[in-house]
Amino acid sequence: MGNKSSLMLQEQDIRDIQSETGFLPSQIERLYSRFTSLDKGDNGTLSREDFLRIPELAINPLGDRIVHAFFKESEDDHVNFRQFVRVLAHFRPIKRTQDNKLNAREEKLRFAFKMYDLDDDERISREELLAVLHMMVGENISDDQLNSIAERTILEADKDGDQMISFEEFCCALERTDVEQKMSIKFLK
Amino acid sequence: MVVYGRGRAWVCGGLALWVLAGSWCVALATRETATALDSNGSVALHGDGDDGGNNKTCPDETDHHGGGVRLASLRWREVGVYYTITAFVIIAGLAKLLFHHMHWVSSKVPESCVLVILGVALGLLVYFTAHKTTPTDSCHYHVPLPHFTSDKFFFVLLPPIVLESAYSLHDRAFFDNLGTVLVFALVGTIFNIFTIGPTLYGLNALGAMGNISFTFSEGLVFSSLISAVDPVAVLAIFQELGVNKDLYFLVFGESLLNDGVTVVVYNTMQSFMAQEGAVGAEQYALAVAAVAVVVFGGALIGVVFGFITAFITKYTTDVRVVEPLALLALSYLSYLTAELFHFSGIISLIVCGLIQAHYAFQNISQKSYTCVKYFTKMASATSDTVIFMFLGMVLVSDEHLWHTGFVLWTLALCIIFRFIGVFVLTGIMNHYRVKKVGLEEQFIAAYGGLRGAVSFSLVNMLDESMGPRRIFVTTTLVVILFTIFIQGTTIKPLVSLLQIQRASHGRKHLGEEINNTTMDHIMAGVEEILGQHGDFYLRELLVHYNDKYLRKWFLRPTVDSKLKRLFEKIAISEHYAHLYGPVAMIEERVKPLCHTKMPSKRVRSDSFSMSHQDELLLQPRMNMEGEMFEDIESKSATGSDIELRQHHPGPLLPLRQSKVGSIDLQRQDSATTQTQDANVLRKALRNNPYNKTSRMAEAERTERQVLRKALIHSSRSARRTRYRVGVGCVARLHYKYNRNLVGEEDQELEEHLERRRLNARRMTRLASSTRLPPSSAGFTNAGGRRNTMLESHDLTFGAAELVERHNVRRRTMSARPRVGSVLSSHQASALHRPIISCFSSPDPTDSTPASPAILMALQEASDPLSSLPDIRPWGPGSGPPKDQASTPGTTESSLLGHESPPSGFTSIPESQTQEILLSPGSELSGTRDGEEGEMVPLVEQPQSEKGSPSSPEALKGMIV
Repeated sequence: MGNKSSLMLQEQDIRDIQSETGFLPSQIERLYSRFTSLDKGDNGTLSREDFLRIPELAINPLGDRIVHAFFKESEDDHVNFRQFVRVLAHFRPIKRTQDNKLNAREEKLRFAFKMYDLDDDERISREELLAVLHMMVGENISDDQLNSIAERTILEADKDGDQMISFEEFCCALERTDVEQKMSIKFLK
Repeated sequence: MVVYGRGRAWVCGGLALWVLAGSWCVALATRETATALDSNGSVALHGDGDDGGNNKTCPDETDHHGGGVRLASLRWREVGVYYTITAFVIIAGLAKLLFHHMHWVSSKVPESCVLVILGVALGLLVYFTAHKTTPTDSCHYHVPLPHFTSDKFFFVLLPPIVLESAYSLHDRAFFDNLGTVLVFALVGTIFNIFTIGPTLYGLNALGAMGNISFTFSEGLVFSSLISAVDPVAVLAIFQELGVNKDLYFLVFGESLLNDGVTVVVYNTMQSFMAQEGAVGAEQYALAVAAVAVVVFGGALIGVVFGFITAFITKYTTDVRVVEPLALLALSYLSYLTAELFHFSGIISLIVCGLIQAHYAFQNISQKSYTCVKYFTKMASATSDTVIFMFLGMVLVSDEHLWHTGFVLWTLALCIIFRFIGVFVLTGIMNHYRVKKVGLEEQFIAAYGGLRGAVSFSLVNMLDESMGPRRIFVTTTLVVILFTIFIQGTTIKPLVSLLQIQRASHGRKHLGEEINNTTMDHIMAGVEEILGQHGDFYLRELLVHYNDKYLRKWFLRPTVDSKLKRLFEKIAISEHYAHLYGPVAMIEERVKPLCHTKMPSKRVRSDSFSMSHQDELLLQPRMNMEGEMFEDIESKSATGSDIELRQHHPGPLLPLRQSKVGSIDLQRQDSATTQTQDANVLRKALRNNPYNKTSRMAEAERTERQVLRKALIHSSRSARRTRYRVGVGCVARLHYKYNRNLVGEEDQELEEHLERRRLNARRMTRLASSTRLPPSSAGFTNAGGRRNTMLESHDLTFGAAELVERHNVRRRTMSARPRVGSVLSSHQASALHRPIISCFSSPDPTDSTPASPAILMALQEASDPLSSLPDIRPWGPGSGPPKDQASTPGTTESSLLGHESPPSGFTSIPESQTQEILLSPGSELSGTRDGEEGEMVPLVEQPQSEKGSPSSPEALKGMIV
């Protein structure tokens, strides 16, 4: 349960998280301290408000979507540390030697896919794409053009003719993109 | 046609010799007839001021002009300077031309080496003809050949090169690697300077070199100039290499940005040398501060001038002519200003160029952009040619002083410390990088640390009184030559040997562009949540403030966003595809049959790929890496549609189509029986996975490999027999990464058109192949869907997209009356006799009898061909009848049974297009691509512009 994660990080927890996510213990501790500093209510979980309080997220057009992605697994709109770390683990750089599911290319792509998939139906419709485009570049392009661009993008990626982009189609469209590099960051120790 | 290629090479060579000899004769003639005439003999390349001063020292000059009327006379004194300069530059240009026509040389040796050799030849010529007179004697004539001076180098020759490279630095990959580049440039250079110098001094003190004496400071001065990795040399070699962007920017960026450090350390060491002995700690501290001042001062000036340019170009809508001037002059001014204050001019120019590329390029018109791009490219190409020739020329001199020990030790230390520096620094930087620099890449980065004209200019500036100056000069030259010749020629094989990832060229898709933005935002968001302010966060911040303020201040309100420009580019290229595609298809079918000079069976046998031959032959000349794959994709698509058509025989319009397809098939069959290549192909086709409902990806891959192999093979044999210059396999790479192509993409008109044509054909074929029996007869929604599913599941990205496009179009159009399904009386009547005769007398090797059905299809197909506006420089150009303004539309619909395309792009009335062409603001509404200059409206081809959708409505119409 969400509330169970204790305020102190136990050795055992660290080991579990390490084996699950591949983070180093020092990285986990660092993440934990960030987690607690975000956790204004001191209840061991983060609510949406906790995330949105981060000032820099305000200028990020996808801020809301990114925050939302953290709540994918939680039922009660609270994220415990385990879930928090698991989401972040998607962005670990891929190493050849390590075989970790969480930071695989597909997971990274899925995270990006979720940004567009507003209604969680595993498909990106034209309206969804248009909405996301509005968030990102809305000011610079007129609605008509944005509309055409969205339509055109769907056409590019759509293979089965349902006017939607499924996750498989999404992956295909990004075949040439260096997602492994672009969606990885160096986690501080 | 190797002979032809050689012939051209000789013509170029002859021209070069002629210019050379011509200017030389004039020079010598003048020397004999009017010894006292010329005093400007020693003029510097661009007529420096000090030469003007020399004029007055010659008293007899004025006498000469004081004489009576002459019928003929030489104005050598006034004209000579400019004459020799121009001749010299032209020789340089011709040398370049010659080099590029000698494929057997150009594929193996870098251009810079050839130019240096040519410089040596010129130098020898000077040495043996004009060496006798001393240059100090200004009144005596000596040959006014330009010679190398440091001023000339830094104020005339270097800026264009730096500006051009600054524009090319405006690339995401450069900014992604900026941290590492800066560390290389700053720390790496300093490391080299302070290891090479003291080591040399120590070795000398230990007596490892023999009789040479220099002080510690002198050693440091020398090491500071010899450590400068040279942008010109690096650029010359690396542009030809075509390595991946990360590696390219790593080495190239370093060579550009280390300028500040080199110059500062050089100056500081010289001042230390002046006050020998007493160098206190505070002096060193000052030196460190000086580096910061020089670098940041330069950058600041660059920023200021860059934004001034952006601001000026914001208001040039009605005065387009000043746009290139503003860009070029202001960037030069920023260089000069920085140099004025002893800041780093190079850094200032780079920063200025980057800001111009980011803002001003979006403000200026497409034509101004092309102008700037061409001018900088031309100027920088000329400059670096001249620089390398100068380097060759200075080799021929009496002043050299060879010192084996010193030369060899310097060479060894330069290489050793370069390697150590690069490996250690990348080791450290890799710790912080997400994308590591591999060991092989590190090796190339170290190996690519070429020295060049910067070092030589600096060593030339050394004080004459300095003891070991001449040894330093000679040693510097040796190091430069070693790096240019030995490392320069071996780096290409090494890159292949180490399997360094090459640069990838490819068209961007909209989806990718959108996703790049998304991913940036995501990563920035993650960093924000982590409270970790890394690269992505900084980037996000920059983008945010850029959008909020800078864009408003420095960009016109009309400037389009990147995404929109990309979208328009895609839309336009598709538009052209739909205009020209049918034409291309017609040609492709008519040509091989009409071609009377199709002699060898060999060629005939390749006829499956015949239609693709020019595509494949074009291959080396195109910069598209993915083109080969796309070809194959289109081919497999063709194969698939043959298969498919057997399952779904199209009753109505596809009648014609299936005939067209069957030609393909028959030709294939007759062809495949003959050669092995074709056998492979047939095998590949027989096993074509497209006629199976389910298909493994694995199978497809092997399939493609087989196809690819066969294609490469047949294209090779075809190349042996067919046109184009003698482009050998070796020359391929050379062409692909030819750095002398402006814009590197499709700025070249012919290539542009040809590529557009290929693209068009591919798309049209795909489109036509995926057409279904239309609504009345066989078309049921379920059937259509099934077919679509099958097709689009199998086809690759591009194909699927087209399928869908056309499905959508069909759906939207099905209600309207079909235009092209019935032969118009006009077309039926205008049968083409010559072409028919071609068909009816079948090629002896072609066993296929020309069936009436095929004939009909082809007649029909060939009809619009002749009546089309002559938009195709490649095709048989018959005069375009004026009254058929809408021919492209009819062609498309009649040939392939396309429903008439949505109004907007094919049916722009003549008068309207004329208006668009004539109106001064028309260039504004055309596409503009600030980054690569693709899709330049083809001014030289008014017909092709005629169809271009210059209005937004037209654009919109295309994307139905």
